Amino acid sequence: MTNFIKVCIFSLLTVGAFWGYSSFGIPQIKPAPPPVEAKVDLGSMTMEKFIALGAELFDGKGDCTLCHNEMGRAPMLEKAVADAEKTLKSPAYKGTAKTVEEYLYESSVSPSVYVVPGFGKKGTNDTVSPMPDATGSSVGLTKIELAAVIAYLQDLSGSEVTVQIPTMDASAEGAESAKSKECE
Amino acid sequence: MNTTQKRRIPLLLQMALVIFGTYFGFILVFDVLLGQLIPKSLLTMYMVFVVSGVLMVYTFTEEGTRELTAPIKALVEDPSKRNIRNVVFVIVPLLAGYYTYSSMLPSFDPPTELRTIHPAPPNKFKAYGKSFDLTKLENPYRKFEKEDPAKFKEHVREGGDVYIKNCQYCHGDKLDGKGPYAPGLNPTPLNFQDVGTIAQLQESFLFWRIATGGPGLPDEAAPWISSMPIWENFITEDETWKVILFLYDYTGRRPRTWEHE
Amino acid sequence: MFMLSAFMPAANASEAAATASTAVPDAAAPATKAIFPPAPKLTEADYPSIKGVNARVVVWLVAQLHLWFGAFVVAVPMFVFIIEAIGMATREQRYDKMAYEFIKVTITAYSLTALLGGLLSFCLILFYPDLFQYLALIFKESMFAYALLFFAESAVLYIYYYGWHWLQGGNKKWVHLTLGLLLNAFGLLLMFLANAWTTFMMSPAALDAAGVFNGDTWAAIHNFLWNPINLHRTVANVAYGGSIVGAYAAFKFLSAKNKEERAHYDWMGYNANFIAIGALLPLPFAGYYLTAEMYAYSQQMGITLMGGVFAWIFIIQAVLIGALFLSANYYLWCGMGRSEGAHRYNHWIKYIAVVLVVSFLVWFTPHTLVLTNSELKDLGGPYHKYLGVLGIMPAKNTAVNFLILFTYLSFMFYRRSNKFVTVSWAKVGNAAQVALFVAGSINITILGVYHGYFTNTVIKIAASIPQVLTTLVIIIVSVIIDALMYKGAKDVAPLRWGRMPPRSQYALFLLAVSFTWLMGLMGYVRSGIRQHWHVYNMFRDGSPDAFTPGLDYVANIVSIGTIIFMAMVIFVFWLSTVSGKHVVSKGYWKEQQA
Repeated sequence: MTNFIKVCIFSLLTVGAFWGYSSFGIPQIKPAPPPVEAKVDLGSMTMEKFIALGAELFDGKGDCTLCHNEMGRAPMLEKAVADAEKTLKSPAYKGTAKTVEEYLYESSVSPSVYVVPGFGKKGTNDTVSPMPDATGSSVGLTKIELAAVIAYLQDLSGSEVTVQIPTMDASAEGAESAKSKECE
Repeated sequence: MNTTQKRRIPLLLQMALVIFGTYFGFILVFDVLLGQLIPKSLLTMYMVFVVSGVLMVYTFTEEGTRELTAPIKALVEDPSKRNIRNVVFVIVPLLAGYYTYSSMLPSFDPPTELRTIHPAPPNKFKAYGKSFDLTKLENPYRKFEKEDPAKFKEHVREGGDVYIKNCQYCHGDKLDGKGPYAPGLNPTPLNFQDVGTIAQLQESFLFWRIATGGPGLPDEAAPWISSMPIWENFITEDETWKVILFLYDYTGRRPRTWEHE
Repeated sequence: MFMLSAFMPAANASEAAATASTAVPDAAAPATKAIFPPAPKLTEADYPSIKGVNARVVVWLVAQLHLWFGAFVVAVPMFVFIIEAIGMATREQRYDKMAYEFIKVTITAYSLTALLGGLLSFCLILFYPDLFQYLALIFKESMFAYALLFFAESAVLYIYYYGWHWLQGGNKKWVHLTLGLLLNAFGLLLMFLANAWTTFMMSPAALDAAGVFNGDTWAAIHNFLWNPINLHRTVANVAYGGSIVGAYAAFKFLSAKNKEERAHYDWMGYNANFIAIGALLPLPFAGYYLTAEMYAYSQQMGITLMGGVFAWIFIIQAVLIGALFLSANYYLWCGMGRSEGAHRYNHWIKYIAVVLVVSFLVWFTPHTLVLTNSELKDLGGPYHKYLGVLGIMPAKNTAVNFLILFTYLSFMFYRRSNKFVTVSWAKVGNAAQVALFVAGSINITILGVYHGYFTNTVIKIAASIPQVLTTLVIIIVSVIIDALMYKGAKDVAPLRWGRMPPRSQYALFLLAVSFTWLMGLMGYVRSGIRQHWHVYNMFRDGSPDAFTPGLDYVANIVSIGTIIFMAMVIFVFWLSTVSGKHVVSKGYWKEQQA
C-alpha cells in the first residue's frame, strides 16, 4: 500500500510539474478571440467607417473575392463605376437601373439582368450569370451590408460615393422599396 | 567500504561542484566572455535539466547512490554529528526563507512583457489601397538580379537612398539596429545584420511588416510593442520593394524562398 | 427570390449546386445524387447546453480519454503479437506468459475504450448536433462500417484472450497467432477510419465553397492529412502502449513479494521500456513529416502551428520529450546493474549524459526568449546573438538526431555489459563502430550547420532527411556489426533479473506519466489549430466555446485528463490482479454432501 501511495504522489508531482511549467514557466499569450461578424451600429456610422465595413464584407462574409479575382471567373471590380457607366450607355443593357448605384445594386441581387460578355454560364450565351444573389441565403448580406459593399466599390473605383448611409427606419423602407423593385 | 584506491572528492561534493560549476560557467561564458547575457528564465530551465542529468549520472549505480546519500544519511542519523545537524537545520530554512523573501520583494522594475517576435502573418493584407496575398507575393525587382544585374544594382542603390532617408534613424546606417534614435526605443529596432532576423524571412513578410508597421500586427498575441510606423503612408510600393532589395544586398543575406536549392 | 429560378435549368448541375443549392438544396440537387447540405452557419442558439456543464471541456476530456485508452488498446496487441511470435520461435514460455499478461491488462481497457467512445458520440450528438449530422452524412458509410468492425474486433479479441490457454501447441498455436494478426488488422483499420473523421475536420476534401460535399466516401477518408496522422498515431501508440505496460510492470515489481516475481516483472518492465524507446526513436521523424504535410496543405495552418500562439506548446513539448528520453536512458543505465560486467562501461555513461543534456538544452532553447525588461535592454534587442542561433529548426533537428543516436548508444552498452567478445576481430569491429559514430556525428553536425545557416530556402529542414538517414545508417550498421561480433559471445555471469533499484522503476512511471501528458497536449494542438472552425475554413464553430484557449487553460484540462486517466488505469490494473485472486472462505458455503 505504501508503494501505491508513493507512486501516486510521484505521478501527481510529475503532472504538477508539467502543469506548473505550462502555467507559469512560459509566457501566457492570450489568443485572439474568433473574429466577430460585425454588428452594424448605424448610429455612430461615418462614411469612412461605412466604406471600411463594405471592404471587410467584400473580402469576408460576402465571399466576393472568391470569383472577382485575378483568376478570371468574374469581372474585376476595381473600375466598377466606370464599367457600370459604360454598361448603362450600352444598347445591350436591358435593365431598369438609371444610375451607377442602382446598377450595382441590381447586379448584386439579380445578376442575370445583365451579364458582362464572356462571364455567363457556359452554354447560355451570356444570358445567365453564375453569380448568386448577394442577399440570398448562400451569401446572406443584409440590405445595409450590401449598401456598404456598393459604397466600397464606388470608393475603390475612385469616384464619388453616392450611397447614403441608411438610418434605422430608412433601412426598413429600403427593404420595402427593394421588394417593389423586384416585382417590376 | 575498504577500497584501496586513493581518496577522491566525496561524491556529494563532486556533484555540487559540477552543478555550481555549470551554473557559473554559463554566466561566465555568456555574461562575461561573450557579452550577451543569458536570460534568467532560460538559465533556470537549463539548470533544471543539468541537475537532473547530473543526478542521473550519480545515482544509476548502487554504489554511487549509497556513497552519495551516505553523508546526508549520516547528517540526519549519526549522533556524533549533532552540532552540524543543528546548524544545517537552522541554515536551510533560513536560506529558503531568504529566497522566498527576495523573490516576493516588490521591485521598481516594470512587469515583464512577453511578446511573440515571430508573428504569424495574415494570408492577405491591405496596403496601398489594394489587397495583397502574402502566400504568392514576390518582389517584382528580384528577377533583375539574374536577368539584368546592372538594373538590379540601380534598384538596390535607389533602395539605399530610401533607407538613408527613412530607416537609418532607427535601424542604423550599418543596418545593425543602432541608429541615432535607437536608444530611445524599447524594444530596440531590429538588427538586420543578425542571422536570426531578415535571413529567416521571406521578402513578402518584410513587405507586410514595412507597409503596415506596428499597428498592422495581428490581433493575436496582442498587445504588441512595436514603434514601426505604417510606411505605406510615407513611401510608395515601389520604394518598399527596393528598400527590401537593399536590406538583403547590404547585409549579404538572402531572403528565404520556397524553392529547394 | 424569383431570380433563383433562373439558375434552375442550368446545364452544369454541379456548378448550380455550388451556387444555388445553398439556397434551396432540395430543389437544386438532382434527384439521382445523394443530397449533401452546405456547411451550416450556426449561432450560439444552435448548441444545446446543459446547465453547469461546459460542453467543450466535456467533449475534450472524453475524447482525450477515449484516445488514451484507444491508443493503449490498439498498441498492445501489436507487441503482444510480436512477443508471441518470438515465444514461438524461441520456444521460451516466459514470452508467452508475458504476452498473455499484456493482453490481460488490455481486456478491461478495451471495454473502457468502447464505453468512452460511446460517451463521446453521445456528447457530440448532445452538444454539437449540427456538426455531428454534417459529418455523419459525409461519413455515413465509414461510420456504419466502423460500428460493424467493432463487433468483429471484439469477437477476435475475446477469442484471442479467452482461447489463449486452449489454443496452445502445434497448429493450434498458429491459429492463435493468426487471430492476433487479425486483431491488429481490425484495430488499425478502426483507428484509420476514426482518423479520417478527425483529419477531415482539419483538411477537408471534396467540398465546394459553400461546404457542400461532392465526392465519394473514399475522397472524404483519403483527405490530405489522413496518412500523416495514421503514421504518426500508429508509431506513437506503440511507444505509448509500451510506456503504460512499463508502468504496470514497475508497480508489480515494487510490490512483488518474492524473488521470482521481482525477476519476472523486472524483465517485463525491461521489455516494455524497450518497446517504448524503440517506437520513440522514429517518432520525431513521423512528427516532422506530419508538420511538413500540414504546411503543404495550408501554409496558414503551418504558420499558426509553429509561429503564433501555439509556438510555446512546442517548447513544453520539448521539455516533455526531454523527460521521456532522460528517464528511458536512466532506466537503461540502472539496468546495467543486473550484470556483473557492467562496470567496464560505467565510466562512459557520464559522457553519454553530457551529450544528451547538451542536445536537450539545444532542443529546448526557444526562438523567442522570455526576457525581463532590463535583459531586453541589455541584449540590445529581443534576439540573442548566440542563443538565437539555437532557436531555429536546423539546430533542433541536429539535437534530436544526437538524442536518438546516444540513446541508442546507451542501449548498445546495456546489451554489451554482460558479454565477453570471443571473435578475433573484436578490436577492428569496435574501431569500425567508433569510426562510424564519429563520422556520423560529424556528418549530422555539418549538415545541420550548413543547411541551417548557410542556405536561404524557407525549408530550413532540408537537412533533416540526410540527417535522419545518417542516424539510421549508424544504428543499422552498428546493430549488424554487434550481431556478428557478439555471435557466440560468452556471458560474464547470468543476468540477475530483479536486481534493480526501486528508483529505476520510478523512471518508468515518469515515462508513462510524461507520455500521457504529452499526448494530451499534442491532442489539443492537433485539434486546436482549427481555431474557430469545426471543419477548417468551411464550417464555423458558432458556439460560445469557439475561442482558442490560452496555454494555462490547456494545461489545466490536460492535467485533469491525465489524472482521471491514471485513476482509471489504476482501476484497470487492479482489476487484473483481483481476477487472479481466489479467497477460500471456510464455513461460508454449506458443506457439500457426498
